[in-house]
Amino acid sequence: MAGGTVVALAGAGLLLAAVKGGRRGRRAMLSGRSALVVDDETIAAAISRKVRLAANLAPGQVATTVTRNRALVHVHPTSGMTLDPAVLTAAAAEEVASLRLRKTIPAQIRVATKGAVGR
Amino acid sequence: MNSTNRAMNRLLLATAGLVLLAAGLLAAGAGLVPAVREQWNAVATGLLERWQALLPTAPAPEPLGSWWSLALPALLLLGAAASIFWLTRQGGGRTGTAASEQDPESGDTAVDVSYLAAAVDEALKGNRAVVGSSLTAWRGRTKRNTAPALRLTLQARKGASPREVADLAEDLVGAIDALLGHHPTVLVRIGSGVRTKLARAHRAG
Repeated sequence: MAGGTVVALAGAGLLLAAVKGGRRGRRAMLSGRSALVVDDETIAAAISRKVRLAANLAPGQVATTVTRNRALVHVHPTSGMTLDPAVLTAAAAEEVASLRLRKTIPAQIRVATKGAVGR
Repeated sequence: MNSTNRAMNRLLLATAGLVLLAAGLLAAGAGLVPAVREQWNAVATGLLERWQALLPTAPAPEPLGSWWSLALPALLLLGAAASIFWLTRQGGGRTGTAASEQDPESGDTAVDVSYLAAAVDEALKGNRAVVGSSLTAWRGRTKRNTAPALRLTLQARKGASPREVADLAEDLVGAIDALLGHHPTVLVRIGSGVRTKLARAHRAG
Protein backbone atom coordinates (compact mmCIF):
# COMPACT_ATOMS: atom_id res chain seq x y z
CA MET A 1 0.00 0.00 0.00
CA ALA A 2 2.82 2.37 0.91
CA GLY A 3 4.53 1.50 -2.36
CA GLY A 4 1.34 2.27 -4.25
CA THR A 5 1.06 5.66 -2.56
CA VAL A 6 4.65 6.50 -3.47
CA VAL A 7 4.09 5.52 -7.10
CA ALA A 8 0.85 7.53 -7.22
CA LEU A 9 2.63 10.58 -5.79
CA ALA A 10 5.42 10.25 -8.35
CA GLY A 11 2.80 10.05 -11.08
CA ALA A 12 1.03 13.13 -9.76
CA GLY A 13 4.39 14.92 -9.71
CA LEU A 14 5.06 14.05 -13.36
CA LEU A 15 1.55 15.12 -14.31
CA LEU A 16 2.05 18.43 -12.56
CA ALA A 17 5.40 18.94 -14.28
CA ALA A 18 3.70 18.32 -17.62
CA VAL A 19 1.03 20.94 -17.00
CA LYS A 20 2.97 23.62 -15.14
CA GLY A 21 5.39 26.05 -16.71
CA GLY A 22 9.08 25.29 -16.45
CA ARG A 23 11.20 27.05 -13.87
CA ARG A 24 14.76 27.99 -14.59
CA GLY A 25 15.58 30.57 -11.95
CA ARG A 26 15.95 33.34 -14.50
CA ARG A 27 13.92 36.39 -15.37
CA ALA A 28 13.66 38.88 -18.18
CA MET A 29 15.07 42.39 -18.07
CA LEU A 30 13.91 45.24 -20.27
CA SER A 31 16.05 45.78 -23.31
CA GLY A 32 15.57 47.73 -26.48
CA ARG A 33 17.61 45.54 -28.78
CA SER A 34 17.81 41.94 -27.64
CA ALA A 35 16.12 39.37 -25.46
CA LEU A 36 17.76 39.77 -22.07
CA VAL A 37 17.57 37.33 -19.18
CA VAL A 38 19.37 37.35 -15.87
CA ASP A 39 19.94 34.54 -13.39
CA ASP A 40 18.25 34.92 -10.00
CA GLU A 41 21.57 34.10 -8.38
CA THR A 42 23.19 37.12 -10.01
CA ILE A 43 20.38 39.40 -8.86
CA ALA A 44 20.74 38.05 -5.33
CA ALA A 45 24.49 38.71 -5.29
CA ALA A 46 23.97 42.27 -6.50
CA ILE A 47 21.31 42.99 -3.85
CA SER A 48 23.50 41.48 -1.15
CA ARG A 49 26.40 43.67 -2.12
CA LYS A 50 24.32 46.84 -2.24
CA VAL A 51 22.75 46.20 1.17
CA ARG A 52 26.10 45.23 2.64
CA LEU A 53 27.69 48.47 1.48
CA ALA A 54 24.73 50.53 2.67
CA ALA A 55 24.91 49.01 6.15
CA ASN A 56 28.69 48.88 6.26
CA LEU A 57 28.81 45.17 7.00
CA ALA A 58 31.42 42.52 6.35
CA PRO A 59 30.99 40.01 3.51
CA GLY A 60 28.90 37.08 4.66
CA GLN A 61 26.65 39.13 6.93
CA VAL A 62 24.10 39.61 4.18
CA ALA A 63 22.55 36.72 2.26
CA THR A 64 19.84 37.13 -0.35
CA THR A 65 17.60 34.53 -1.92
CA VAL A 66 15.52 35.38 -4.94
CA THR A 67 12.38 33.28 -5.23
CA ARG A 68 9.71 33.32 -7.87
CA ASN A 69 8.09 36.56 -6.74
CA ARG A 70 10.30 38.25 -4.17
CA ALA A 71 13.82 38.85 -2.97
CA LEU A 72 14.44 37.91 0.65
CA VAL A 73 17.42 39.64 2.23
CA HIS A 74 18.77 38.15 5.47
CA VAL A 75 20.96 40.53 7.42
CA HIS A 76 23.14 39.39 10.29
CA PRO A 77 24.09 42.58 12.17
CA THR A 78 27.28 43.10 14.15
CA SER A 79 26.70 42.73 17.90
CA GLY A 80 26.02 46.04 19.62
CA MET A 81 25.33 47.93 16.40
CA THR A 82 21.76 48.80 15.60
CA LEU A 83 20.81 48.79 11.94
CA ASP A 84 18.21 51.07 10.46
CA PRO A 85 15.83 48.79 8.53
CA ALA A 86 14.67 51.74 6.43
CA VAL A 87 18.19 52.22 5.06
CA LEU A 88 18.52 48.53 4.23
CA THR A 89 15.10 48.39 2.59
CA ALA A 90 15.87 51.50 0.55
CA ALA A 91 19.20 50.04 -0.61
CA ALA A 92 17.61 46.76 -1.66
CA ALA A 93 14.67 48.48 -3.37
CA GLU A 94 17.04 50.80 -5.21
CA GLU A 95 19.06 47.88 -6.55
CA VAL A 96 15.94 46.01 -7.69
CA ALA A 97 14.58 49.15 -9.35
CA SER A 98 17.87 49.80 -11.13
CA LEU A 99 17.67 46.36 -12.77
CA ARG A 100 14.54 47.33 -14.72
CA LEU A 101 13.11 43.82 -14.68
CA ARG A 102 10.20 43.12 -16.95
CA LYS A 103 8.20 42.19 -13.87
CA THR A 104 9.61 43.81 -10.77
CA ILE A 105 9.92 41.93 -7.48
CA PRO A 106 9.56 43.33 -3.95
CA ALA A 107 12.59 43.07 -1.66
CA GLN A 108 12.04 42.08 1.95
CA ILE A 109 14.59 42.61 4.69
CA ARG A 110 14.94 40.25 7.64
CA VAL A 111 17.34 41.40 10.32
CA ALA A 112 18.50 38.55 12.54
CA THR A 113 17.96 39.08 16.27
CA LYS A 114 21.29 37.53 17.14
CA GLY A 115 24.33 39.55 16.17
CA ALA A 116 27.69 38.45 14.83
CA VAL A 117 30.62 38.99 17.19
CA GLY A 118 33.83 40.79 16.34
CA ARG A 119 33.25 41.92 12.81
CA MET B 1 15.96 27.42 -32.02
CA ASN B 2 16.55 23.73 -31.39
CA SER B 3 14.61 20.68 -32.46
CA THR B 4 13.15 19.82 -29.06
CA ASN B 5 9.51 18.89 -29.56
CA ARG B 6 8.00 20.53 -26.51
CA ALA B 7 4.37 19.53 -27.10
CA MET B 8 5.34 15.88 -27.59
CA ASN B 9 7.55 15.94 -24.49
CA ARG B 10 4.73 17.36 -22.38
CA LEU B 11 2.37 14.73 -23.76
CA LEU B 12 4.78 11.90 -22.94
CA LEU B 13 5.32 13.31 -19.46
CA ALA B 14 1.57 13.60 -18.85
CA THR B 15 0.98 10.06 -20.12
CA ALA B 16 3.71 8.64 -17.90
CA GLY B 17 2.28 10.60 -14.97
CA LEU B 18 -1.24 9.30 -15.59
CA VAL B 19 -0.06 5.69 -15.90
CA LEU B 20 1.98 5.92 -12.70
CA LEU B 21 -0.86 7.66 -10.87
CA ALA B 22 -3.37 5.00 -11.94
CA ALA B 23 -0.99 2.15 -11.06
CA GLY B 24 -0.23 3.68 -7.68
CA LEU B 25 -3.87 4.33 -6.84
CA LEU B 26 -4.77 0.81 -7.89
CA ALA B 27 -1.99 -0.70 -5.76
CA ALA B 28 -2.95 1.44 -2.77
CA GLY B 29 -6.63 0.64 -3.34
CA ALA B 30 -5.90 -3.08 -3.48
CA GLY B 31 -4.34 -2.80 -0.06
CA LEU B 32 -7.19 -0.79 1.44
CA VAL B 33 -10.47 -1.76 -0.24
CA PRO B 34 -11.42 -5.46 -0.36
CA ALA B 35 -13.62 -4.99 -3.43
CA VAL B 36 -10.71 -3.59 -5.42
CA ARG B 37 -8.51 -6.45 -4.21
CA GLU B 38 -10.99 -9.08 -5.39
CA GLN B 39 -11.44 -7.40 -8.72
CA TRP B 40 -7.67 -7.17 -9.13
CA ASN B 41 -7.28 -10.85 -8.24
CA ALA B 42 -9.88 -11.83 -10.82
CA VAL B 43 -8.32 -9.70 -13.57
CA ALA B 44 -4.78 -10.86 -12.76
CA THR B 45 -5.81 -14.53 -12.75
CA GLY B 46 -7.61 -14.07 -16.05
CA LEU B 47 -4.58 -12.42 -17.64
CA LEU B 48 -2.25 -15.12 -16.34
CA GLU B 49 -4.47 -17.86 -17.78
CA ARG B 50 -4.57 -16.18 -21.15
CA TRP B 51 -0.80 -15.81 -21.10
CA GLN B 52 -0.37 -19.51 -20.32
CA ALA B 53 -2.78 -20.37 -23.11
CA LEU B 54 -0.79 -18.19 -25.48
CA LEU B 55 2.58 -19.80 -24.72
CA PRO B 56 2.10 -23.11 -26.65
CA THR B 57 0.95 -21.30 -29.81
CA ALA B 58 4.57 -20.50 -30.70
CA PRO B 59 6.76 -23.27 -29.30
CA ALA B 60 10.51 -22.75 -29.24
CA PRO B 61 13.53 -24.97 -28.36
CA GLU B 62 13.67 -26.07 -24.76
CA PRO B 63 15.56 -23.48 -22.65
CA LEU B 64 13.11 -20.90 -23.99
CA GLY B 65 9.86 -22.88 -24.12
CA SER B 66 7.94 -20.35 -26.20
CA TRP B 67 8.76 -17.46 -28.49
CA TRP B 68 6.23 -15.43 -26.54
CA SER B 69 8.47 -15.42 -23.45
CA LEU B 70 11.16 -13.89 -25.65
CA ALA B 71 8.76 -11.35 -27.14
CA LEU B 72 8.04 -9.72 -23.79
CA PRO B 73 11.65 -8.70 -22.90
CA ALA B 74 12.22 -7.85 -26.57
CA LEU B 75 9.29 -5.44 -26.41
CA LEU B 76 10.69 -3.81 -23.26
CA LEU B 77 14.12 -3.54 -24.89
CA LEU B 78 12.52 -1.93 -27.93
CA GLY B 79 10.82 0.57 -25.65
CA ALA B 80 14.15 1.39 -24.00
CA ALA B 81 15.79 1.83 -27.42
CA ALA B 82 12.97 4.15 -28.50
CA SER B 83 13.44 6.20 -25.33
CA ILE B 84 17.18 6.53 -25.96
CA PHE B 85 16.48 7.54 -29.55
CA TRP B 86 14.02 10.17 -28.31
CA LEU B 87 16.60 11.41 -25.81
CA THR B 88 19.24 11.93 -28.49
CA ARG B 89 16.75 13.83 -30.64
CA GLN B 90 16.42 16.60 -28.04
CA GLY B 91 18.20 19.90 -28.35
CA GLY B 92 20.64 20.47 -31.15
CA GLY B 93 20.46 23.31 -33.64
CA ARG B 94 23.81 24.82 -32.79
CA THR B 95 25.83 26.03 -35.73
CA GLY B 96 29.27 27.49 -36.27
CA THR B 97 28.11 30.13 -38.72
CA ALA B 98 27.00 33.42 -37.22
CA ALA B 99 25.84 34.93 -40.49
CA SER B 100 25.95 34.13 -44.17
CA GLU B 101 25.11 35.90 -47.37
CA GLN B 102 24.77 34.67 -50.92
CA ASP B 103 25.64 36.99 -53.75
CA PRO B 104 25.71 35.81 -57.36
CA GLU B 105 28.52 38.20 -58.25
CA SER B 106 30.88 38.30 -55.31
CA GLY B 107 30.13 34.75 -54.11
CA ASP B 108 29.03 33.40 -50.76
CA THR B 109 30.19 34.92 -47.47
CA ALA B 110 29.98 33.21 -44.11
CA VAL B 111 31.05 34.66 -40.78
CA ASP B 112 32.29 32.10 -38.28
CA VAL B 113 30.91 32.60 -34.79
CA SER B 114 34.38 32.12 -33.29
CA TYR B 115 35.43 35.37 -34.94
CA LEU B 116 32.67 37.27 -33.14
CA ALA B 117 33.36 35.37 -29.91
CA ALA B 118 37.01 36.41 -30.05
CA ALA B 119 35.97 40.02 -30.67
CA VAL B 120 33.63 39.93 -27.66
CA ASP B 121 36.38 38.39 -25.52
CA GLU B 122 38.78 41.11 -26.59
CA ALA B 123 36.25 43.85 -25.86
CA LEU B 124 35.66 42.48 -22.37
CA LYS B 125 39.33 42.24 -21.48
CA GLY B 126 40.04 44.13 -18.27
CA ASN B 127 36.36 44.61 -17.48
CA ARG B 128 35.66 44.45 -13.76
CA ALA B 129 32.03 43.39 -13.89
CA VAL B 130 32.33 40.49 -16.32
CA VAL B 131 34.59 37.51 -15.69
CA GLY B 132 33.74 35.37 -18.70
CA SER B 133 31.72 35.30 -21.88
CA SER B 134 30.56 32.92 -24.54
CA LEU B 135 28.92 33.53 -27.89
CA THR B 136 27.17 30.76 -29.79
CA ALA B 137 25.08 30.69 -32.94
CA TRP B 138 21.88 28.70 -33.41
CA ARG B 139 19.90 27.79 -36.50
CA GLY B 140 16.59 29.54 -36.95
CA ARG B 141 13.70 27.39 -35.73
CA THR B 142 11.15 28.27 -38.34
CA LYS B 143 11.33 27.49 -42.03
CA ARG B 144 10.73 31.10 -42.92
CA ASN B 145 13.47 32.54 -40.76
CA THR B 146 16.60 30.46 -41.32
CA ALA B 147 19.08 33.20 -40.40
CA PRO B 148 21.20 32.12 -37.43
CA ALA B 149 20.40 33.66 -34.05
CA LEU B 150 23.09 34.46 -31.49
CA ARG B 151 23.27 33.71 -27.79
CA LEU B 152 25.60 35.83 -25.72
CA THR B 153 26.27 34.61 -22.19
CA LEU B 154 28.07 36.94 -19.80
CA GLN B 155 29.29 35.65 -16.47
CA ALA B 156 28.96 38.47 -13.99
CA ARG B 157 31.38 38.93 -11.15
CA LYS B 158 29.80 38.10 -7.81
CA GLY B 159 28.00 41.23 -6.66
CA ALA B 160 28.21 43.05 -9.98
CA SER B 161 25.07 44.96 -10.89
CA PRO B 162 23.17 43.08 -13.61
CA ARG B 163 22.04 46.38 -15.15
CA GLU B 164 25.65 47.46 -15.56
CA VAL B 165 26.38 44.16 -17.31
CA ALA B 166 23.20 44.53 -19.38
CA ASP B 167 24.28 47.94 -20.64
CA LEU B 168 27.62 46.44 -21.55
CA ALA B 169 25.85 43.63 -23.41
CA GLU B 170 23.81 46.20 -25.29
CA ASP B 171 27.04 47.88 -26.44
CA LEU B 172 28.48 44.51 -27.47
CA VAL B 173 25.37 43.63 -29.47
CA GLY B 174 25.57 47.02 -31.15
CA ALA B 175 29.17 46.30 -32.10
CA ILE B 176 28.19 42.87 -33.48
CA ASP B 177 25.45 44.54 -35.53
CA ALA B 178 28.05 46.91 -36.94
CA LEU B 179 30.44 44.04 -37.74
CA LEU B 180 27.80 41.93 -39.50
CA GLY B 181 25.94 44.78 -41.18
CA HIS B 182 22.53 43.50 -40.10
CA HIS B 183 20.60 42.88 -36.87
CA PRO B 184 20.52 39.21 -35.97
CA THR B 185 18.23 37.90 -33.23
CA VAL B 186 20.22 37.95 -29.99
CA LEU B 187 19.54 36.36 -26.64
CA VAL B 188 21.66 37.78 -23.83
CA ARG B 189 21.97 35.82 -20.62
CA ILE B 190 23.60 37.34 -17.58
CA GLY B 191 24.50 34.58 -15.21
CA SER B 192 27.07 33.05 -13.06
CA GLY B 193 29.38 30.22 -13.91
CA VAL B 194 32.46 28.48 -12.66
CA ARG B 195 34.48 31.63 -13.18
CA THR B 196 32.11 33.64 -10.99
CA LYS B 197 32.77 31.25 -8.14
CA LEU B 198 36.54 31.30 -8.67
CA ALA B 199 36.98 35.02 -9.24
CA ARG B 200 37.09 37.27 -6.20
CA ALA B 201 34.00 39.21 -5.30
CA HIS B 202 33.60 42.85 -6.21
CA ARG B 203 35.67 45.02 -3.88
CA ALA B 204 33.86 47.62 -1.87
CA GLY B 205 34.02 51.01 -3.46
